[in-house]
Amino acid sequence: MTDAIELIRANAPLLGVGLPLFGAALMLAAPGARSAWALASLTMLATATVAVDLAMRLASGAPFLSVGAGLRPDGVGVWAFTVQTCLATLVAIGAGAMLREFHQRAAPFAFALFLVMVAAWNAAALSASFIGFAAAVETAWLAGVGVAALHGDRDRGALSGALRMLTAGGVAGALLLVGAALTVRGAGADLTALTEQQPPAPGAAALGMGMMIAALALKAGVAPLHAWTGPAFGRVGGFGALALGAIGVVAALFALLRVSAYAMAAPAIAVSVSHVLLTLGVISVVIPSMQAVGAVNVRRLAAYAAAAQAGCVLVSAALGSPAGFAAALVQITALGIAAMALFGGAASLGQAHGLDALDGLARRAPLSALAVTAGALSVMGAPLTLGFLGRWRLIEAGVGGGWWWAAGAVIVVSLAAVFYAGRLIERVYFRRAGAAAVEPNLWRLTLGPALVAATLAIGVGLEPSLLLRAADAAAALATGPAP
Amino acid sequence: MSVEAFGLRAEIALSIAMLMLGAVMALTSGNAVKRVAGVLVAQIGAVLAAGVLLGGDILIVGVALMVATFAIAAALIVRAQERYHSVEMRDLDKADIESEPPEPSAS
Repeated sequence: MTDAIELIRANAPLLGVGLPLFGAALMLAAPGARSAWALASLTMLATATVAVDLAMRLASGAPFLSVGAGLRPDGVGVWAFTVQTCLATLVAIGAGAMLREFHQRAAPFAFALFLVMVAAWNAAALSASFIGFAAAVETAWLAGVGVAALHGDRDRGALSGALRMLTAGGVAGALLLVGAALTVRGAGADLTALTEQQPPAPGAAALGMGMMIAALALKAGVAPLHAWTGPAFGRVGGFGALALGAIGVVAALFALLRVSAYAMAAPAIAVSVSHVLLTLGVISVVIPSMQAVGAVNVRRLAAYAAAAQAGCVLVSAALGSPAGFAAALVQITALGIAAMALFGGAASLGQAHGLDALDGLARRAPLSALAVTAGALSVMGAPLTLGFLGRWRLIEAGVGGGWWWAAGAVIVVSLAAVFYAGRLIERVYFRRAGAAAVEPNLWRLTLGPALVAATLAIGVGLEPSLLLRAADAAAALATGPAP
Repeated sequence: MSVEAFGLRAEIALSIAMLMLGAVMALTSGNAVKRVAGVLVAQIGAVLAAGVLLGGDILIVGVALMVATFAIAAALIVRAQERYHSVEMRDLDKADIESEPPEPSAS
């Protein structure tokens, strides 16, 4: 028995990919929406157990394992695997309240696509080779398009959003494939080839990395490559917004950070990659912040806020230091948890997605209002929240690296966020309820994960020492163990 | 530069040109079918470029992704035609805006 458990633990990365895929295959046998939801929740709980166990073992000093099957855990990869799997578990459980968004026969397909998406993003977080990484990212993206499109029965706008996702992501996929091929040609097949030797063709490797970063930035909704986010997030329904916002965008940012960490460790291409990250980061801080101020749709507002936060993540990564990568890890985690709280809380609005649907929510659905409030506070970077922690770490890393202006970028994001996220809180607590009362339904209790995320957004902000230590440890091992 | 090296560079340049042409078509065309065709042209260019750079193995990955993209795109276009009675992006935008107030443009 002990040997079997050890065997399972030794193959944790493989299970992180295989378990969700197995669960997706089982969906074909699910007779209805409720059974599909239960199966998806159980699958994700099992995967999350594996991920947390792997992270705890690595944190306690256990050696990194080379498990074969093209997977190789490193600091950023294990952090990403753990965070995105735990968020996906919360999304799967919370989806119980959103089953009415789908036809009875479509629900198993929605959950199957969701599980394939999670498996593929996990593969991208743990992949050892550039080609495997690119294939995993594309698979995840196509599954995400499928999740978005399945809401088309209820709202045809979801089809338009999915079409935009497909065209923008398809072009990005082509860039990603060529970028990966150029990097392999210029440096080597494995990610570690960038760090272990002087690349034989640094020009090709730098061009390839630039193309890969641009492609991943588009998939993460980084401005100015985020034209797909507004149409997609605005109309894909509660489950689609949670899957794309709390998992898709967060996992794409983790993937971007992971390849950037390897590129920044290669002196021959680090400067070029830093410039690309910095340019995209600064643009993404400014444009989405202005768009969020004008947004009239809750989910779209959250998507623009995420894009602004992604700009801060790219500025952190551009620093190239362990402190910068640690700041980026904390910020992406804060973004994922805030997105879970915001989208989960907003899911109680049902098909309504305008800002006015939030009016008086505190009286109609106090717990949902609490989740929206915690998410909004974290997005604006209010003190004692996880969002504040991420931005503070960016300021520390920026000042440590001589980039004083990074503090200015943080202030721009925070000031804009105070306006647009403050607008959410004002509507929730200080407006007269105009919309119909939230329909009483026992299944709304499954929105509990949004409250878990809200608790984390505040709780981790109050006692951040464990998270910060773990982020520092993961950033120190961003490219794997020392040779 | 040898003839072989020149040939290799010419093949890569042609593939990248095909990718760029497809990308422009996919991102600017006003018709959903033409957009999807642009994506496929871009992906064919990418697969050819990757094949020239790395050899045959990557072709399997590339072709698999292209087939999956095409299958989803075809389903989406059929559903869009059913729900919007059009595949012109202008008509789709108009219908979406009518059901929701507009916001500031993306960039």
